[in-house]
Amino acid sequence: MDNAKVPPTRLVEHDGALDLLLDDLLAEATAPIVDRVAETPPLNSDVEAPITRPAAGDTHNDVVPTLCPPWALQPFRVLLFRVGGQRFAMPLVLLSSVALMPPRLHELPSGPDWELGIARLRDLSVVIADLGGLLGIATACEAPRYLLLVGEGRTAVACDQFEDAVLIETDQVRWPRGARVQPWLAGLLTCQMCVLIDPLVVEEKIRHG
Amino acid sequence: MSNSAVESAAGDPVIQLVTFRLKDETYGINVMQVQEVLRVTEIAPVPGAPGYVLGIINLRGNVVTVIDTRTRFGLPTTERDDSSRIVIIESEQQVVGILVDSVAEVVELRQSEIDSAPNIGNEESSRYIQGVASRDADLLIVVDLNKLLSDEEWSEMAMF
Repeated sequence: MDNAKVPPTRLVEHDGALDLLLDDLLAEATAPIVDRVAETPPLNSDVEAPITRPAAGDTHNDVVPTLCPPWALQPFRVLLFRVGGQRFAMPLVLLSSVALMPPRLHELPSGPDWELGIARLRDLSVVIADLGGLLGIATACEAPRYLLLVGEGRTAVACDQFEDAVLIETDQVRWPRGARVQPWLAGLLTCQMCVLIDPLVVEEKIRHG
Repeated sequence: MSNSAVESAAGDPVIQLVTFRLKDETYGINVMQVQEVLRVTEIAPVPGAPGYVLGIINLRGNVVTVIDTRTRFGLPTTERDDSSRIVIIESEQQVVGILVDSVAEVVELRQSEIDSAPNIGNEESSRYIQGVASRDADLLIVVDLNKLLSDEEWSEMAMF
């Protein structure tokens, strides 16, 4: 038997699992593909930059442009956190701050279902959202202890616990190819096997639904 | 100059609010729109009225429609008790009563103290929330009574 022709089983399974997850999350097939590398936008630009580097975990050798947000064109730190047993990540550069969950949240009438309440933090009224409800995913905090404040610090999502802050290289993320199907889904951290959430979209959703 | 809006030296008007409780929160409404506060008496139901209309009361010969504020605010309803009050208010549209859990006090706030939280008033159903203000350790939710109902709903109310 020629062992050289048999791919390593573990890697095949890993790639398969990754692809299944990505199929669900990134839904990339129908989106138009950018066929050239654009100039690198400034870091403060909202426009995503197409890059041609193959994302980690790619099972084929084709170099396909993917969309990488401007804040991720250089290595960036992410905060890993858990909501309802599920791990998520957000880029630290786009977080306003983190805080302990206040002992009491105030309930505004007729608020959206995802709104956990409002609290005064550092003399600001902060709207606190349940991440799962806000993003329309099946996860909810079990015992929310912390807040991740996004934008100008007047919007926040609750989480059960913080895990770590890690430095991520651009090619350690599987970026969506073409337009994002889920606007909040910036990409997938291939080493941590979790989704990278775009805090700008989270803030926008809290502000405007 | 009205009694409820006293211009401060800095041009930051001071407004007076009647505060009331609903569930676990404190709300404030402009004192100038409050005509009187009543203990809960008999409220005659009106068949066919919207769900947030409790019924009508006779106020010295005038028929006044009473709104179930908890229902209007999407809060669970509760039994009325000795603390329950009907606050008679005058909006831009008409005079109505709003049923509240209890009436607390009259507070003064500077306009600048009313903070519009990021998504407050975005939803059609909550556009009557003018903002929130910090009161000691509590949070006061300021209600714009003129927006308590939509124009269509105010018109509907006029039929009862």
